[in-house]
Amino acid sequence: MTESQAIAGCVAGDPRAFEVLYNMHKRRVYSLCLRMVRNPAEAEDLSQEAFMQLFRKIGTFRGDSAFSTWMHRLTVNIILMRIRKKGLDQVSLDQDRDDGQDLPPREYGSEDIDLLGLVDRITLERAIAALPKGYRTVFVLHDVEGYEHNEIARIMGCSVGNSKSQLFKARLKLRSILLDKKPKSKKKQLEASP
Amino acid sequence: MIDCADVKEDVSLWMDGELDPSRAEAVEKHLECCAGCAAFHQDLKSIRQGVEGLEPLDPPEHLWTHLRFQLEAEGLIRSKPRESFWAALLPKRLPDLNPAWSGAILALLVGIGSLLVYDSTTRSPVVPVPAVSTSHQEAVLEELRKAEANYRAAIEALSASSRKKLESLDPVLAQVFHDNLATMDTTLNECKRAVESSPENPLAHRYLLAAYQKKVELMHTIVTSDSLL
Repeated sequence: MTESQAIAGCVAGDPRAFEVLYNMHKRRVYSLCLRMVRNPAEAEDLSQEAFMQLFRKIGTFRGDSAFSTWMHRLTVNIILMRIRKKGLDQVSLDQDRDDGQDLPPREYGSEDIDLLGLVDRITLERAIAALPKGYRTVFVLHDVEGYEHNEIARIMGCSVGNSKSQLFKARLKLRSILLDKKPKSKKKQLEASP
Repeated sequence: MIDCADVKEDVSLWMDGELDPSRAEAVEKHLECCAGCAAFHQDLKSIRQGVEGLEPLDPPEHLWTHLRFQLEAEGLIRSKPRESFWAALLPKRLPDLNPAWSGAILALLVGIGSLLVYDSTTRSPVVPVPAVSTSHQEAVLEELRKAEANYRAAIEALSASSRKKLESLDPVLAQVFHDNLATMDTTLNECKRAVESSPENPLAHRYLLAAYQKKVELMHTIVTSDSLL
């Protein structure tokens, strides 16, 4: 069954079509939810909500954009609505967090310790999960999901400059988290080197 | 002379192709002669490569089961419309009949109809039989209570070791597990309320058991979390 056949099947209420479409997109939707909210139970709940919204609205899909794009946007909107509703430790994109609370200490002028390419998948997933929510949202949308700054700005209701600035801070913070996670001996060795 | 403090944000923008040519050139030149900023650039490259290697994650198996229940509950999944009893009896395509045959069949149908009407008016009214007998419902609820008791025993058995395990885990990871457990408890309570308010609803029973199962699975994951690290 092709994607367009599955879409038509869903509109007609065919149970097999729902399962086919779910299997085609489940990993992308779940990954996006999990990376954005960090909590697996909540990611599961959000994925279910996203798919239900998708299936409820599937009759309105006109094919102006790719189905995956349509579905992705819908999922992002659901996640952001949940984040706003919960109002947890989200960093507002309209406030520049230059107070240094979430940012790593400024190390300009000092010798940097590089990661030497030692970024494995599990460490990176954990480091992304440890980012403050506002930074994580922009980082996941831009660097993981490939959104452009103008799209992020539209979705998040902020300026393009703000989105760029948040991404930079997110990368700084991520680097700092990854450096902290490095084995102490390796870190010391690197710190000792000129 | 470019200040390293300013260059770092430019490095990030430059990597995304967001810098104008003159600033891009200045960044490139600076990176050639500044070891600190070059190392910073290398780190961002490593992170980018790591991100490119991230695989989509598999959702748990039961997600589709839950989704399917909800689709059914909302009537979005439609099974093939069932043919009515009378439609099934009728031929799909009526044969071409001459007027004499048509008249005879019509008369026969009217006669059968009249007999049925007469019969139904003279017979005593029929008491409707409930779709599910009370004893059957009670038996189902009893089974549900037994299953709940088993799940509660499993949760009790796992609780001490999972609590101990959580204390020894990385605080960030432990917090994630705590959040998950809290979400699951909320779900579990909602499911219990659903069963209390409509004990005859099989969907509510399934959700409740699925919620218990998820909690046991998570506690088991916590206890065996060494294998994840």
